[in-house]
Order: sequence, then C-alpha cells, then structure tokens
Amino acid sequence: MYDNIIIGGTYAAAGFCSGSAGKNLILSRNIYIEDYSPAFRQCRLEYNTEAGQVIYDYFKAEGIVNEGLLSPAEAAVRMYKMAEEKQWNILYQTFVSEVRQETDGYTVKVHNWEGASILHCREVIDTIPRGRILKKTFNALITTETSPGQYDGFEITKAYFNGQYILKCEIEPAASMTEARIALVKLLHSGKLKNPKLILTAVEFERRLECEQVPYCVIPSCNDENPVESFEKGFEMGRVAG
Amino acid sequence: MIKTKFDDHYQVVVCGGGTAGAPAAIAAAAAGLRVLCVETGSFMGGMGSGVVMGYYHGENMEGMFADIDREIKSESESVYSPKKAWCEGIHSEAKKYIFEKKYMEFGGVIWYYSIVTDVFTENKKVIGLRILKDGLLTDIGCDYIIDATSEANICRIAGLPMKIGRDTDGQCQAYSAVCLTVNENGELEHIYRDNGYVNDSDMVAFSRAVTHSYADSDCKGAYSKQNNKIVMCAPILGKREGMCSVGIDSFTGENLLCLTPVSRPVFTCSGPYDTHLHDAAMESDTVNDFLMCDLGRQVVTVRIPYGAMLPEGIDGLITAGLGMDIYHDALAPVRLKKNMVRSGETAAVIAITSLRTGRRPLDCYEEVKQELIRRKVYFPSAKPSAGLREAMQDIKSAMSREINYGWGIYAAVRTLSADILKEYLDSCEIPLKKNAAIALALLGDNSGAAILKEMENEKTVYLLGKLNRGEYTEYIAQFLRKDTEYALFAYAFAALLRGAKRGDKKAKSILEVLVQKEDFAPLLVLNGNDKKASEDRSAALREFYKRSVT
Repeated sequence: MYDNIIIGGTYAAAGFCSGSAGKNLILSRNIYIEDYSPAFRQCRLEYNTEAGQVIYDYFKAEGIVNEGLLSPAEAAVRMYKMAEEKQWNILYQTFVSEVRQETDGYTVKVHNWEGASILHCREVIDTIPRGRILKKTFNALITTETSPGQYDGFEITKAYFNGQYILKCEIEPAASMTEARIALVKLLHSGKLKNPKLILTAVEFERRLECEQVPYCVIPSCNDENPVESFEKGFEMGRVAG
Repeated sequence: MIKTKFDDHYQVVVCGGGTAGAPAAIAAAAAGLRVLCVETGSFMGGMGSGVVMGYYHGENMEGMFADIDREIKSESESVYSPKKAWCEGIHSEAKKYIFEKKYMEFGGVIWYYSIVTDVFTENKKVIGLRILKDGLLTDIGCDYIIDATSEANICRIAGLPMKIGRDTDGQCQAYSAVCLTVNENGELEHIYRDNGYVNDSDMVAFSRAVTHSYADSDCKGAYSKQNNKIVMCAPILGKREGMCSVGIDSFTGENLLCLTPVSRPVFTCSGPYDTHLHDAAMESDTVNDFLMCDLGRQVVTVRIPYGAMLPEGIDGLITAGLGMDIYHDALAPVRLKKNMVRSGETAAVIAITSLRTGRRPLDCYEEVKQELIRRKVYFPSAKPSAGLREAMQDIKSAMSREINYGWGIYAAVRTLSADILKEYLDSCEIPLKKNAAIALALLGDNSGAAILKEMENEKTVYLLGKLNRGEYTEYIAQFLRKDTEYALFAYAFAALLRGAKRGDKKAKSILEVLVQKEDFAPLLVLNGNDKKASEDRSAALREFYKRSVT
C-alpha cells in the first residue's frame, strides 16, 4: 500500500516527492522525464515559492540556466540524479489502464513487461491526465538562418544552446505523431525557412489541456509555463499530503 | 486467454516498431497485408532511428531495405544537421521520416504509446491480442503476431517458456543509457558507455538501473568537457540482450563460434563478436576459446535457423530481433542492426508466405527460403569468413601475423597437430611463437606455458587456468589483488574457480577467503571510475562463485 501513486515521470511528480514524506510511487510510461525535454518545450524559468527558488538555484548552480533559459536535457539528467539521491520509487515503462476509487483509497491497474498488476494507494496524483486538447504543437530542434518569430503555421524560438532554435508547428488535436513528423519534414523542404537543418524531432507533443473530471488529484504539468512552476505545484501538493 | 469477438482484425500485428519490428511491419505492409504495428514509444526504427545513427559493422545491406537505405541516405543530405563520418550518411531523423512515410504509403497502421496486455489463443494458435492505447483497452484479432519486442514480451504474455542470459550467472550483455549531443562542429552524435547489467524481467531493478544510468549519463561531466552539448536523453535504453523465446530450434555458441551447421537456415547474419562485456571471464569456455584467438573484431557470417524464429508450443507467433531463440554465446554479432533488419524482413516473409499458401509456417520453409534468396536476405553459398578461408590456405603465415587477426590460431587448433605447433615455439618470429603457445593451450598442451607467462595478461590467466592441475594455482592467485585491472582479476577468479570445480583444494580455499570480504573486486574503470559498478562486480563474482561451487 502506497500513500501516493503519481502518474507521470514529470517535474510535478519530482516536486510532489520532494514535498511529501509519504511512501510514494511514480509511474512513468517511458524511461525519460516526461514533460518539457522530450517535447522540446523551451521555457524561461521563474519561481514563486521557496521550493521553486531552491530548484531554480540548483539549476543555476549546476550551470544549466542561460539567460533565464533552462537546458532541458541537462535538467532531465538532474532530475534522475535527484531521484537517485532521494531514492524515490519509480517504475518506468509502466502503463495505467484503470484507477478505481475504493473505500480506503484507490486501486491502480498497471501493465508493464511483468504483466498486469493492481497497486493500492491512499491518493492518486495524475500529472499527465487525459482531457480535451486545446492546443497542440509538434516541436523540433533545428538550426536556421530564419529569424525567431511567429510565422504562418509555425513559430521559431531561441533554444538553450546558441545557434539552435525550436521550431514549433501547430497541428490538429487529433494529429498523430507520424502525421506531425511528416508535416514537419515537408515544412523544412518547403523553402519557407532559410537553410533549415533538423537536429532532432520531439518524442512528445507540447499540449494545453482541459482536463477530464476525475475523483483524484490532477496536476497537468503540460499546462504550466515552465518546469519550476510544475515542480512548485507538485511540491505544494506533496507538502499538504504530508 | 480465450476470446471470440474483436474490435478489429489485422492479418499481421507487429509488436515493437524498433530495429527489427519496423522493417517487419514495412515489409508486411508492402506485400499488401493489413498490418498494425504496436509500439510503446513514439517513432519507428528503435535505436536505429532514435539514437544510434549509422550501422557500424556488418556487411552491406541487401533485401528490400537496401533501397530504403539509399532513400534514407539521400534524404539525410537535404534538411538535416551534419553527421559524424561513422554514421554512414544516415541521419536518425531522416530514417524515422522515411520509415514512417513508407509504412503509411503501404497502408500500414501504427499505434504509438501502446502496450500489449494479453494474447488470445485458441487450440494453441494465436487469434488476437489486447492492447492498451491512450488509456483504453482494445481487442484486436489477427492471423499472425510478429513479436519484435526486445524481450520477446509477447511470448512471455502468452505464457511460453523463456530464457535469459549466460549459464554462469544469468547475466546478459551490458546495456547503455545514451545521450544525444551536438558537438562543436554542429554534428549530432550519441554518447554512451556500458552502464552494467540489468534483468528486464524485474521492473524494479530495471527502473533503478535506468535512474542510475541517466543520473550519471554525462559521466561526471566528461562529455560536457569535450564541448558536447547534451540535447536529449535517448528515449529508449540501449539494450543489447534480454529475455528470448524458446524456439523449435536454437542458434547457439557452437553454431557461431565453432561453425557447426544449423538445420533449415533462413537468413544470413554477419558481424564481429561485439562483446560489450565487463567480465568476459565469466563467459563460457566456447566464447573464451574464441576470444583467445583474437577474433573479437573479425567479421563472421552465419545462418540463422528457421526454428529460432518460431516459438515452441504455439502457432501464429513469429519472433524477430532480440526475442529470437539466440543463445547468449551467439548473440554478439547477430544483434547488430543490419542483422536485426534482416530478421524483421524474414519474419514478414514467413507471415506473408504462410498467409498466401494457407499453411502453417513450419510447413512452408521451402517457399520462405526461396523468397528470402530472391530478396537477398539469405545467401546459401555465403562462407563463414574470408579471413578463415585465407588462413586455411597458409596457416603458418596467418599465425605469424600480429594481434586482432586470429584466424591463424583458429585454423591451427582445428587442423594442425600439437607436434607441428611445438616446432613453432622455437621460432624467432614473436607472433608465431605466441600464437602457437595459445593454440597449444587451447588443445590442452602446456608446452607453451612459459611463453604464455611472459605475456602476463588475461590470455595467460585464462589459458593457464584451462591447463591447470594445481601447478599454476599460485601463479594465477597473484592477480587476485585490489590493484589488478578488473578484467585480469576476473579471469584469475574464473581460472581458480575452474580449478576448484576440478578438485583443486588450494584454489577453492583461496576463493573461499576472498568472497568473504565485502568489497574485494578492483574498481571497474569504464570511461570513469564508477564505484557502484565495482560493488556490483564484487557481488556478481560472489554469485558466480556460489553458482559454480554449489
């Protein structure tokens, strides 16, 4: 029996585990930190709470904040370090098929390569909830001679490393990863960007969600502005949970 | 699990869209079949398109993927960042794009972020599976499943027998947590090291290993210091080996290293014995005898048996990639990417042929074989090694060559008498003398022991351990010190263990004292000093000891 099961290996999950003294378990369907970095969400960091300042200062001390921008991949590495140092319980490559409310908490049905199993907990915190997609972009890390700015159907913003940019392509909410990738490559071939060179495409979408109503707690980190904000929200919820 | 009603039906469901799965899905869809590919991640091609760009090793690609490769290389020259020379002109993003584009053009369907939770069977025949996609369970009927998961997970879910790792301690080849970086020339490249062993059947252990590996993925700043900018932690783990199915036939170390023939060969594999082993000392004698010949970098060409792709006890399930029944000893070259691509295309051909003829895969081997020959996936007349052929023509001169070319030793052990080899011991040519001593030791003759001792390396310890009947115990034991290099230490440990098993009481007592110590193994140095890896090694050696002695 866990005190809390946190769905999603996110900054909000890291914040929750930092704030909570309970027996927690993070379920991640991937092996990576699931928000910001894999979607190439390049954000300007800001903090509003003491916990936020601690994580902000940590990133700064590690030398991975440049003009307010965070190095997403380097920050992800720091999250793994934090998880290891604090010995958080994490199960990677674990998918959730059902969360059911019981008299004493919840049961969570999970699937991974060990098969299906039922986990029990007092509280569930979903940081990657389902819901209606309000906005969806497919991002890529590129180099280009086109200036940063908003263009017809896409946006170019500065990335963490000098000379690198994030290409954000707005796509239909129902578009699949395959459709998005094919459309992005077509855009690069279209001549709309000056001398574009693709470094990497995202492995997650950047999204804004209207979350489904569920009986358990939800912290949709996809709706936050930056990883510190997600961490802060998670931390506060973890602190209250005890 | 029994099931009668499904939400949809596909002729082929490919589970795992990675290095073997993506080619399987594309080849099956190209043949006009209705194909669904189920992938836990979010792109096709696995390590081959998400992380490691080139092929490194193996002979040129043939089969339908030769054409696709050319297309990828051409696309890579267009709107993609520069690549390192060893990427063989392939940009990982171009590969993702071309794979997906082709697959869609052929009418294939892919479900990302999805996992198979159940397999439905009827009269020992697969009839469908349950898939968790976007949080919802869907039941899909199918004629064939191609299990291209890196762990034969579908076989496992179906309740079939599985196997994993080497006999000595159950370990697999090391895995790597990879980071994608851009170097100072703007080139995309991947950086990694061998992070250790992990058994994927234990999700808790697997998860701890992932956290630990990525936490140290910058290798304590070593890569950043080289001006490599980390732009992404690779979305998949670089697993070189995991659980595999138990097939009707198995491809073994004997097949690969001793070149014993296989029954009903189905596709051709080639590559070097790319070990990624921290502790080759714990490998079988078959593997170590081969490694002693300095053949680690020599390309061998072998044939994979049909039955290794057909799990025992079930119909309608075909394995491809790492889940095939390839025993640990034989996996090192087989798991290389081009071979995995061939396995994928082969699996598709089995399904296509079986559907076309209406016969079970077991009953249409000849048709499958002919089709694979036509596609240039199977080469019936391919020889194991050009190097071996050359060495056999003049063994003495092959043995006179320096290291990293061991076909001379290999050929000598198989064809020359000990008397001839003894004559070489007096030669003034150092390589010939040394190689003759190695060959003699492999034949169980200690005439060259003095020359082996002069070498004072892993070979010395392994070979003297092989010959040891008590007379070399003390000599070998001197390497069991904390300041010895790890590999040499492990070989000394294994050599004494071999002696202990043969009744060498002195060897046994030395080891008994040693394993009582908590942290007795030397620090394992792998691109940095990793204390945890060293502690793991002590535990592994202790386990190796326990398993062997008991």
